[in-house]
Order: sequence, then structure tokens, then C-alpha cells
Amino acid sequence: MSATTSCKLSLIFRRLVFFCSIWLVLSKADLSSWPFALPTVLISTWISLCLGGPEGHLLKPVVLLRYLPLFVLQSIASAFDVMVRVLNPSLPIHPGLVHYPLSLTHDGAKVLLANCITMLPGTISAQLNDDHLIVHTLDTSLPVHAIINRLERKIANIFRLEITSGQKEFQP
Amino acid sequence: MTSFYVGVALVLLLTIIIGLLRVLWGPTAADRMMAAQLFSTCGVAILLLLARGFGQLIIEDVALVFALLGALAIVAFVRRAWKTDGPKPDKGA
Amino acid sequence: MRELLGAFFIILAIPFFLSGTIGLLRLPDIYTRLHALTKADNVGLGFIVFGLAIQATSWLEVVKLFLIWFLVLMASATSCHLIADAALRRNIKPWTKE
Repeated sequence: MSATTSCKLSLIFRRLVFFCSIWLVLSKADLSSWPFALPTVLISTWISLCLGGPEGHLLKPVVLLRYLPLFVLQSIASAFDVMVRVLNPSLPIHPGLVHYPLSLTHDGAKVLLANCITMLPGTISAQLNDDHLIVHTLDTSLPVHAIINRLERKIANIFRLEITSGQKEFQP
Repeated sequence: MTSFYVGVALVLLLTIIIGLLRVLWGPTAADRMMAAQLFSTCGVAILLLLARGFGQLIIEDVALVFALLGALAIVAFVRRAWKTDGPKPDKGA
Repeated sequence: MRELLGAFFIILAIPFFLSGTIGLLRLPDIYTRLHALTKADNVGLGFIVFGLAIQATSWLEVVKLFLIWFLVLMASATSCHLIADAALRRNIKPWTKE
């Protein structure tokens, strides 16, 4: 068996396990539901393979889990930030747009970055282009570039990508 | 305990009703649609609370469907109802 | 004990939902309103899910609750991005302090 075939098989296997576990959670492990479960899991796996490219295997779940508490804490901090600004009678906001040149080239990584920016305090991602990202911030005095740069490095770690400042580089 | 869950659910329902003022004020269609998104997030929270409060775990599945439909509504709105005439560059995602 | 702790987190969620709604009404333009909507409400839902998970009796229910939260989180981050993107394409200028 060639390397690419085994790689593809492992991808299919992992998707199957993923959808099976989701079904188990949703059905509360009711095993009598398997006549529905089997076709649903197979169709979901097939659709997900059609939609997503073969690049999914780059993702490192362990690193993702390690960053998860940090993401959750920052999400809470951002909600608190919004609460403080909104409940203040003088409404202390200085909104504006910020352009951020992307170092990431991987599509999945860029989408994850955009979604994570939305969870950071004071920023939402507004437009994702090929090489730069437009970010809307509630406070233009925030060091938006530095914040996103730190996040970008973490995401590169999750996807096993190497980014050097300014240079675009890809490491398999 | 049932009255506790129902009480919190009612408070959340109140925040939705206040939020509906945005539907009246607009000014753009997207502002009105954002009130619908508020409805979807708050609605999921209310359904989860009611599921526990009344001991009907099936309502959790309703919350799940609610979450999916909320996302679908926004996508349909942006892609169809609020379409722009300008060029649409491929975003690579 | 677990009941009380769960109830505490559920009550903690209310101010977040309230500030989401107040933000939606008070903030001056689409982009700033998106901030209130996506951040405050999602964390509010997170606290409710956390509170209910503490009180839950089975592990599968805990996983299911967090699955629902994760789904809402992804959905609202994506919708936020889509709305902001569409607004920028329509040349809606962000509100700024003069």
C-alpha cells in the first residue's frame, strides 16, 4: 500500500470515529438507534470528505487542547470588556478598522485565526482576504497587531506550520 | 428547583424582547437580522434551562436544531437577501 | 452543593445576556453591535452550559451540553464575520468618534 493511500485511509477512519462519537453523544449512547446511526454516519463522513480538502490531517489536536483554556479565558475577558464598556454611561469606545498582513497561508488556519480573533477582547474579524485581514476593534489604542501576531503563532503551532516574521514558509 | 430554571428563562426572554427594539430601529436589514441572532443564542439558553427545569431532555435536541438554524438563517441572509452588486473576490475559505 | 454551585453560574450568566442586549441597543453602528452580540451572549450561554453541566447526572449529558455551546460559538463567530464582511462590501463606514 502506498503512503498516500494509507494516509487517506487513516483520514477516513478518523472522520468515521469522529462522527460515531458525535452520534453517541447526541443519542446518549442509545445503541438501539443504530439503523439510523449507520447511514447518517456514513453520509456525514462522505460529505465531509467531499467538502474538506485532504489537508485536515495537519491539525494537531493535542496542541489545540492545550490552548483551549487560554481561548476560553480570553473569551470571558472579552465579554467582560464589552460589559464594562456598554454599561458605562459615557460609552468609552474608540472603534476603527485595522489592516493586518497575514503570514499564514493555510486556508483552515486562516479561518481558525479569523474565528479566534472574534473571541479576543476588543476585536472582531471583518474581512478575510488572501494575504491580509481587516479587523474591527472597539478601541484603536489597543496593540492590535501585536495581539494578532501572538495568536497567529499559536495557530501556526496547532497546524504544524512554521511562520517567520514577514516571511511565508511552510514546513510539512 | 423548576421555578428557578423557569425564572432565569423568563429573564432571558425579557432580554430578547428588549433586544427586539433593534428590529424596530434598524436602520439596515443587517441590524434587524442581528436581533434575530440574539434570539437564536438566547433561545438556545432558554431551551437548555427549560429542558432541565421540566426534566424533558428532548428539549436539548430542540436547542441543538435551534443553534443550527440560527447559523443557517444568517448565511442565507448574507448570501441571498443582503447580496452586494459589487465583485465578489474569492476569499479562499 | 453541586446544585447551588450550578445555580450560581446560571445566575452569573444573566448580566452577560443583559449587556449583550444593552450593547445591541446602545452601540452606534453595525460593527460595534456585532462585538456585543458575539462576545457577551456567547459567554452568557457558556456560563449557563457550565452551570447545567455541574448539575448534570451523566457524563454524556455534559459532553452534549458543551457540544451545543461549541456549535453556537462557531456559528456566531462565522455569522459575525459574514455580516461584517457584507457590511464592508456595501461600503458601510464604521462609526468613529469625531
